[in-house]
Amino acid sequence: MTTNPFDDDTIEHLVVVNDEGQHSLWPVFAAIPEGWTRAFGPDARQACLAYVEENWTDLRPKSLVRAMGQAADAAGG
Amino acid sequence: MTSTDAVGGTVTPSARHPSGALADVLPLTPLQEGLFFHARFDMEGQDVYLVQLTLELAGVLDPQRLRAAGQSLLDRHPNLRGAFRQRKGGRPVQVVPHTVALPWSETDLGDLTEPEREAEWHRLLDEDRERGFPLGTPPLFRMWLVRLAPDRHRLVLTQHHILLDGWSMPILIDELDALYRASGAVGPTVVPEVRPYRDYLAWLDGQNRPAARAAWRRMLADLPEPTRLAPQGAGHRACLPVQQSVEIPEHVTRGLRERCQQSAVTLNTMVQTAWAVVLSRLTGRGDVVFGQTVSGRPTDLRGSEGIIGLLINTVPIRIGVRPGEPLEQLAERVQAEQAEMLDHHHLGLADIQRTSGFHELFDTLLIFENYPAGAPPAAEEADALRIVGFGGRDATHYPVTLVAVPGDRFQLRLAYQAGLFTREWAETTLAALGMVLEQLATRPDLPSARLALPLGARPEPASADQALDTLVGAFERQVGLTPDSPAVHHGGTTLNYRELDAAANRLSGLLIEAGAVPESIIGIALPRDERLPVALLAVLKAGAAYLPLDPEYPTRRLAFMVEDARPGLVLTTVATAARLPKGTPMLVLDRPEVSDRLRSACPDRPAPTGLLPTHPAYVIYTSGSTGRSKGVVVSHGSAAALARSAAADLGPEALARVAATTSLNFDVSVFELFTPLLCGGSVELLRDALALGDRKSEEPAPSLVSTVPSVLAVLAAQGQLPVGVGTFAFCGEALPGRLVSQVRAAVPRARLVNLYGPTEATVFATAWFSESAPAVSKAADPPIGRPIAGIAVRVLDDSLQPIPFGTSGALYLSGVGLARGYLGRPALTAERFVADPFGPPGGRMYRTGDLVRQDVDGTLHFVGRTDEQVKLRGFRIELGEVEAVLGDCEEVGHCSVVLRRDRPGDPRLVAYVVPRGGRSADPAALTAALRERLPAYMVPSAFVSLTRLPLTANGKLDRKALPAPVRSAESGVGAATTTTQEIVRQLFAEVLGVARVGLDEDFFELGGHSLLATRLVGQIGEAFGIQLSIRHLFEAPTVTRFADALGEEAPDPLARILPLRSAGRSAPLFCIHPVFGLSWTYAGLLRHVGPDRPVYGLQSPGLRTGSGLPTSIAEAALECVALIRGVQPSGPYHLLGWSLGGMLAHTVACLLQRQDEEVALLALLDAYPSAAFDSPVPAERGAVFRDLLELLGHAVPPGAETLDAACFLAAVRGEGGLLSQLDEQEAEALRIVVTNNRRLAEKFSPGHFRGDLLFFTAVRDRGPDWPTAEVWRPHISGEIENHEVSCRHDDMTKPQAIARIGPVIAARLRTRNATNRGA
Repeated sequence: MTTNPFDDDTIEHLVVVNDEGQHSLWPVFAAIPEGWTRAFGPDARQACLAYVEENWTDLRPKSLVRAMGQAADAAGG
Repeated sequence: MTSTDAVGGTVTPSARHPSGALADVLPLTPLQEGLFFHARFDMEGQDVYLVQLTLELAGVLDPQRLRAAGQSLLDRHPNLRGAFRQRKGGRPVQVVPHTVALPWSETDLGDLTEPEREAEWHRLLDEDRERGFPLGTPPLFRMWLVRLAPDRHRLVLTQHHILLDGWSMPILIDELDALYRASGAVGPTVVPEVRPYRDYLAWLDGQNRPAARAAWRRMLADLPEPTRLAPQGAGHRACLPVQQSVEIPEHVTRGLRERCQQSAVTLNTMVQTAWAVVLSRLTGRGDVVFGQTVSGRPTDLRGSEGIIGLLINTVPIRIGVRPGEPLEQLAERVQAEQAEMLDHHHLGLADIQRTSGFHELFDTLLIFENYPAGAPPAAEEADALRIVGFGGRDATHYPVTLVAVPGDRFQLRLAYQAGLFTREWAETTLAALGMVLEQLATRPDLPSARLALPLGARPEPASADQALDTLVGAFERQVGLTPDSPAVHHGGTTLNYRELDAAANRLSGLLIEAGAVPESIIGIALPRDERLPVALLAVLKAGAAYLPLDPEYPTRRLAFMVEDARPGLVLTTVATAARLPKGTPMLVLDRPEVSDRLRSACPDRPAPTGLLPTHPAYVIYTSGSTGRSKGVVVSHGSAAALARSAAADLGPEALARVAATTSLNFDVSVFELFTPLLCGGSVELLRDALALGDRKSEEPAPSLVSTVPSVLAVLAAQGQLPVGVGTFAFCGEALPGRLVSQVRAAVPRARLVNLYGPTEATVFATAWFSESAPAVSKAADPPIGRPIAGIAVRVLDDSLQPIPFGTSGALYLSGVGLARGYLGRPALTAERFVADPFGPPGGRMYRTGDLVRQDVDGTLHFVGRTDEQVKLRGFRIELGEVEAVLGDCEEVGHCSVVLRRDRPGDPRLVAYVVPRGGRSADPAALTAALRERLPAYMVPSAFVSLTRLPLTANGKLDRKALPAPVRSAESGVGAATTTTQEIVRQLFAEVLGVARVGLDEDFFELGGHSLLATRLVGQIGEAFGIQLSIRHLFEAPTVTRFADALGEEAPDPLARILPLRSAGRSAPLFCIHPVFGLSWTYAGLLRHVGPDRPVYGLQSPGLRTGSGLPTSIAEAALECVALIRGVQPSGPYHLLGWSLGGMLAHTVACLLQRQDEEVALLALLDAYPSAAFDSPVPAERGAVFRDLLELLGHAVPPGAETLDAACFLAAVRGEGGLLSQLDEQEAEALRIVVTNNRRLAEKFSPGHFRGDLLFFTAVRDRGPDWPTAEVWRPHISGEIENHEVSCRHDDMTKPQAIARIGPVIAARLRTRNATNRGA
């Protein structure tokens, strides 16, 4: 078995993001799956992970954040 | 139709020449040796290397001239006359007679109708093939002319491949044509002389084989595994393959040639590259090897291209397919890598494979048919052969052969063994190959990973359905449906749904007051009683997520989790609060002020908290590879969906009373608690799964028990499987098939479920149900089944492409069960929860790190881990985490931790440590240091100091080179002073899987854990016939202390009769000493024969003094009878003896019968009524001591041919054991006893026993003339029941042998009892 592409430090990666704001490491050799867009890269794996660490600060799905906001608004209003 | 065989077809050389008239004896080329081997290896199968070449001839033909031309071929080329013989004890040779007549036959099919003719032609062709060639009889070449019409003929050249290769064929036919034209007249003017085959053999002999070996070794270095397409063990029964072919369209072929020119690679390289990509997809491996036939015509041997003979060779082509590498770049790299090997193509495949360390490197062969073009058709010459067509049948023994034939339209033929592959498979594979070639021509910049090939099953998109429920909503609905049904049992307490709901409501009110909201975290550190489910529900009702903090976990671990998750509050009790770090915000439930508040709190449901299905329900920590474990955040929706789908799969009956035995920190607890509580079932809280063994029979049996297989295996081994359980759900580790059979035998009606899944996909993602496979074979482990509702699986290779069915690949999971991610660890979340290419859009998949294989019906089989994360007794351990902590220890320089399986059924963690310069690594200190920072299951059970870690050539840890841990002699120091100690010590060692245990070594320090402890306590209890609990072991964890605690009277270890166990009501088993006079070696039988049966050992007299020794077996046996009757005055008697003890036992049995006593059992362990196979009595006393050491399993000091009593004692003392308390005089006495015993054996003449004989044969290392159990036949009147034991004669009482013998003896004793009772 060779190295799993997500663990492979010898190849370049991307950071891709979906509508929920969830981030994923992605090996540059593979086509970006539908529903995801490139947020960072191509760059070294560690650089991609550093980007995620810095930019994905709220792991809650965006739909939940919106729903909580609406609930708070409703409660407040 | 007529057929004539001219000139006796198979004229042997001796018919024309005197015998021995050989022109030459030649060596074989490596490939010839291989073909010779195959022909001999499979004498019954079809000889796939018989080649039939058919020439379609037009025009008028003169058969006589053609035959003469054929004869000239044989005359001109000595190697075509060769036969192949094995030299006695040597290598095979090819022998070449001076002359051989060409076997020639003619058949006329001219008067048949067209269809008849074709049918007959094929029949005759098959017949010709069937006739074959015996390789030892020349020639292996014949011609057969078939006349279809006056101007239409077919000429069949049948030969064995060992003579000729395909490359030679056009040259041979050209020459045949030239000879025909010259009417058989041979001369330089007609046919140019060709370089003889001999020259090639001489060239071959002059090659630098060591250099070639070195080159191949380099090229194959670090190859992880061979590349095989055929299933392992499928066998290679030679039979003619079937084939499929495909033509690459002209424009693609042209494009490919143009691409070749642009990137300066050959067409052969293109095919190699394409085949490597396809093989890599088919096998899921990035590093593939296949065979290729190379022309073998050396450029430095002038004229070699014109040699007729077998020059080709098969060599391995190894290609690493990197997913991101553009196709063109890959092809260029392949070309460069292969160019380096050109000079080494002469080395034989067997030789090459030896350098690789693999017995077989590949099972597929590529043949690129770039044969030289023949002369242009000589149609205008009236005298020439007018060849208008070719046909042929040839094959290889490889399961798959790919033949590439260049041309305007490139042709690819795939020949395969029909038993191993299907036609569809071949068509798909060829189609994939064609697609890769097309992309090579048109999209050279495409990374190979992006090639979409139709090879794997395309995974289904995960369901886009959102998880819409919360655990709270589902539970509260259930309360409304079944308010009075029992919900929770613990001890004598039962709560119904309404009570549970009310209690949870009260507590949740307090939690909301304390600030609990959705997205907040509340810890739970409570004992396992009914407060636990109340607290869980209360936390959830308050909107928060719970964080399990099992008080049984090490405090450091708990502190880490508290620090990492920062719960706003932790629910605990006075007793468990002390386990939590200082400063933790706590709510101590049993403090009076809290109980008061709870009592007065409102039992109604709290006001809505705004809880949504995507809010987290719990955070569970799992092992992490970076030295930190991580919290998995799971939403209500995922947990509720799991409970719903589990309930649907298991049904209400199974959930009526679920035994909750799993720690809250292990997410199986989510399944155990919530599945029943969300559907009207009930939960019984137990301490752990082992508590199931302690249940009283009047308690209602649980409807479902879920546990890790190894815990249930302990219960099964102790015969404590809870009967009446409807469903056993296994989770947490691989389920052995053996356990499935055991459980089925003990609880036949139970349904067995194998659950698989990581915490990150919410408890379990796939499930297998026993009813789907009524008869799982014992050997095969059951599969992990199919995905449960809402989960989709993807089995992918390293280029993220789907893997074909039946091939192992990495498992990814997607769907409703996916966790939100890791608490506060975005980067880690982004690399484990990744974008799902198979949909729905924007979906994620979790990469499990597990390797699985998928059947065509979707059933998944667990294969192993892709990384270093391992599972040990249900716990996931990242070895890297253990290594990180170990590496932090001051004395440790480098280290590596591996999971070893040296003992079947008992995997354990072993640490390899290279101490930091000048320091030493003390296992006890390391154990203590690790235990402070890691949970017990992560602490290695053995530490091995190494001067360096073994590395592979490319610098990776060479796991295979790591030594198995051995217990050092020093740690075994200390002599057992009592038989009790000795027995306890043996059992400690056996359970721990080590050779010896020191008397004062701590069971837990030695790697004992709670499961092993249970096993040990059970075994000691059985050995001594008493009831023990684990508590005894905790209180007395060393051999000395445990033996003291047992308080057994210490018998004299050298007494004539040794009570191994004196307690018990059944008739005793008497075990008679072997040649070394001692019988405590039988102690291993204790735990098999049942606690109620006393066991006595009979030992030689004179062990202390060396005097008063018997002079015959009969005399010794008479003494035994007296001792036996002293213990048991009357029969029935049960006797057993090993070796000399067997002779004694037989004689004792005869004597007892003569005294009119019943002998109910006579069991002999590899004993025979003759000493014939024993070594002669050594004259040297020292030799006796040496033999004794060997027999007793002690290390013999190196170089010691003879030993005196002092050396002997030094050796036995070094390792402990009962013998080490002997003094020199006693050692000398022992030597005298052993010598005397050997003499007794020499003079034995057996009597006649009336009854059956139970016999055990040691089958290892038997001498050629050793007797069998049958030699007893004249000396008994009944039946002989023989059992073979896979051990040596001397090891007949070692644990492995006793494990086989003990149960048989026990069963016999039991049936004896039964019949006795009946009588």
